[in-house]
Amino acid sequence: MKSTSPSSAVLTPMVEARAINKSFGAVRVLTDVDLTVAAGEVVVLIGPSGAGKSTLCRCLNRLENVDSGVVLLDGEELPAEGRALARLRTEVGMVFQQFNLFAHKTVLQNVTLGPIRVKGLSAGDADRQARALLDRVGIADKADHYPAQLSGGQQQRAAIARALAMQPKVMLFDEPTSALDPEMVNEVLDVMVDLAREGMTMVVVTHEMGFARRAADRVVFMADGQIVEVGTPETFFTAPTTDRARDFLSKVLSH
Amino acid sequence: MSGFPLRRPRAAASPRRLRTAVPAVLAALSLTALAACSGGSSSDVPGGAKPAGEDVAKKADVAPDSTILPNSTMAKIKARGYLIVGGSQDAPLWSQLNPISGKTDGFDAEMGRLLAKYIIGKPEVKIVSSATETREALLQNGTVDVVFQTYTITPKRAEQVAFAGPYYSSGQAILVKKGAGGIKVPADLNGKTVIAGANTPAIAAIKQVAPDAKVVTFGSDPECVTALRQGRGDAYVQDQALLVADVKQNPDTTVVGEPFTADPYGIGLGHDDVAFKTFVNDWLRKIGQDGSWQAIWKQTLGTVVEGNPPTPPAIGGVPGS
Amino acid sequence: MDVVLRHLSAFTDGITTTLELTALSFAGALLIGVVVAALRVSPVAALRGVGTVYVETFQNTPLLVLLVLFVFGLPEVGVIFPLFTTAVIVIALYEAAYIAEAVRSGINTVSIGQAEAARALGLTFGQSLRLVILPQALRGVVQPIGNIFIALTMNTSLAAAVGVVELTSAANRVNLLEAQPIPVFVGAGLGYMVICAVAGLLTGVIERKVAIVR
Repeated sequence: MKSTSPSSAVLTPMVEARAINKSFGAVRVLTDVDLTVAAGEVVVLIGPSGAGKSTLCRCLNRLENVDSGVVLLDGEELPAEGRALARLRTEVGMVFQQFNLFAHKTVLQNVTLGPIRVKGLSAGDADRQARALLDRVGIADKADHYPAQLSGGQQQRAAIARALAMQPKVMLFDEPTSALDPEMVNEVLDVMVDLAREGMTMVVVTHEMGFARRAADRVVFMADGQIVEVGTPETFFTAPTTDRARDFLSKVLSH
Repeated sequence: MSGFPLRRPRAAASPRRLRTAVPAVLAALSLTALAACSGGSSSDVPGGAKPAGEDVAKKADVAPDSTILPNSTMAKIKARGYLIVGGSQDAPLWSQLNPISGKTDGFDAEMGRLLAKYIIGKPEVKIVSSATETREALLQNGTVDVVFQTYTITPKRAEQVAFAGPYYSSGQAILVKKGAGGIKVPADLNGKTVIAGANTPAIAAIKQVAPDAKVVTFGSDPECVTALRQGRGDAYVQDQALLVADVKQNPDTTVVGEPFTADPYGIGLGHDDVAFKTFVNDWLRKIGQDGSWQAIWKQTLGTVVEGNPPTPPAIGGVPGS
Repeated sequence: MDVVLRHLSAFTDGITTTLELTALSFAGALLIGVVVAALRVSPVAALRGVGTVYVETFQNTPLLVLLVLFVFGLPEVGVIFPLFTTAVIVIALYEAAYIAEAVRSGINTVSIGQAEAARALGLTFGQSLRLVILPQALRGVVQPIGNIFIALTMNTSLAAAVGVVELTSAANRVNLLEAQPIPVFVGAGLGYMVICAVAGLLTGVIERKVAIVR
């Protein structure tokens, strides 16, 4: 996981979304969205509620079906249904706002399920890998606990370990800290910052502007189902070019 | 058309026989039409209808007032205006609801009407469907006045209820598929699978003559015959009169030999009601002598059994009566 | 009650048959029921249709009608099973409709998020169902399935109508000889009560054992 460095892989688009359109019934949530994420790049999606950030994130591994448009993963198009999609999904890790750990399995079993059942790892190998990952996210001592016995921050770190266990090419984070009590936000963000430093390709939907400043290569600002502005954190936060972005930033940074 | 072919409409209204009910009703309708075309004559209809105007109960005797003792069961029934009979609605030839006329036909049903006429002066009967599981209880708690339900008199049962009669002597016989062979005498049933009506005296009868027979029971006579024809058993044991009717409908079956039991059917009564038992027995003797018993036999069992009516059995002639 | 003791072997044979009938048809019902529940939540519309038709057919037909149809109808088209086997098949098919609905209600209690997480890991629909959804769904419906088991036990008595000599049928036969319906059927009733009481206790034990920490 530490093999890819941002500079060496920047030429290959790891994730490419082209002309994505998506409606929920009569409500248009994404309009002609294009997004390219290079290998090793960390892209943070920000914007007001209802901007379509989460939907875009979920479209990237087709948890959400698109009405039109294509998603390419490492150059390969994601199919609509079936086993081929399931196979490609193994290369995209996903972390949810509500953690979504499997309630009937221990933390360790949550982390080993995918590697054993999907990748065909032996129980022993999966176990060793899982324990190393749990150690890395700082909850090695919780391996045999059930999700409900963990705090929100611990659960989210377990969920990150579960996604990493599939050795994905890219990680999607859909508002990973929004459901957490404030004192637990940092323990999760720290893990994510480490991950970014190690060169993981990441797409992160978040309201944590601090994380965007610290870890993002690019900030993508969305509003009303469209990408409005793209820039480095430095330029975006100090000198946004659009009124919408300025308006948004004035609201979130005023306190 | 005052009557209705007794033998044809096999189906009772119960849901389990809905499958056969539709064809049976159709058959019944066509038979009714046929009988109407032939000017009411029933001679061409198998199992023939009662000749017009021969309602036995209509001209049957009524008991003299002196025999309706004050505070007796008879007085109670007379005051009520109808007789409550525990019986069946699905026993062909004996007591079967005719789905078209709404009347219950058969030997037992007619006996009930005759008794009602004798006590009350009119043949008013209310049949409470009793099952073999419930008839002792129904008599003991007074839900029904009498039970007419091919109720075999046994000493064991006589400990629970009283029996008037016997009023009919039946016998169990064996039905097999034609050409089956292998079963000539009752003992041949040993080791065979034998079909019987659930809750009929046949079950005990089979156990007695062939202890090693495997008894399989079904709810109704048509089901038993179907089961026999489908090969679910080697033989079917049932009251001979019923089997004779079955053979007429299913020519691929045949009755083997003669009845091998004597089942005395009695009228179930409350256990300690001596006055009522005496009264009913007197009535039985009376209808045996004045020809009413023979008349209803002809109209019911006589439609499938050949020959003249038998002699009614001697009252009190069996253990338990 | 000495009537029952006098015919103890008839009663124990009857109870044995009732237990066999119950165990086999329940096992079948559980298997078919889970498959039908899976059909009903399948992403493929045609499979959902099959599941719905199955449940509606078997829930809306009286068991006795099904028993008579299978016992007397199938031989007409040349298929003849022994009576006991027929009863097991029919009761399993019938109760499976109820199990399927119980399991489906259990599936609905498992959060959609867990299903999404399973799919995001690359599990197929079948794997998500088998490894993530059903294990949780089934734990949540131990009690309703226990109730279906009890109903099934009672329903086995209908097999008496098609020639299977289980407890009710055995009681009937004893009563034909003894003419004492009340003690005889109280005896049979006690037999059913014991089976169902044990089932109720087991249900409780299983429910506690498999409970998920939430």
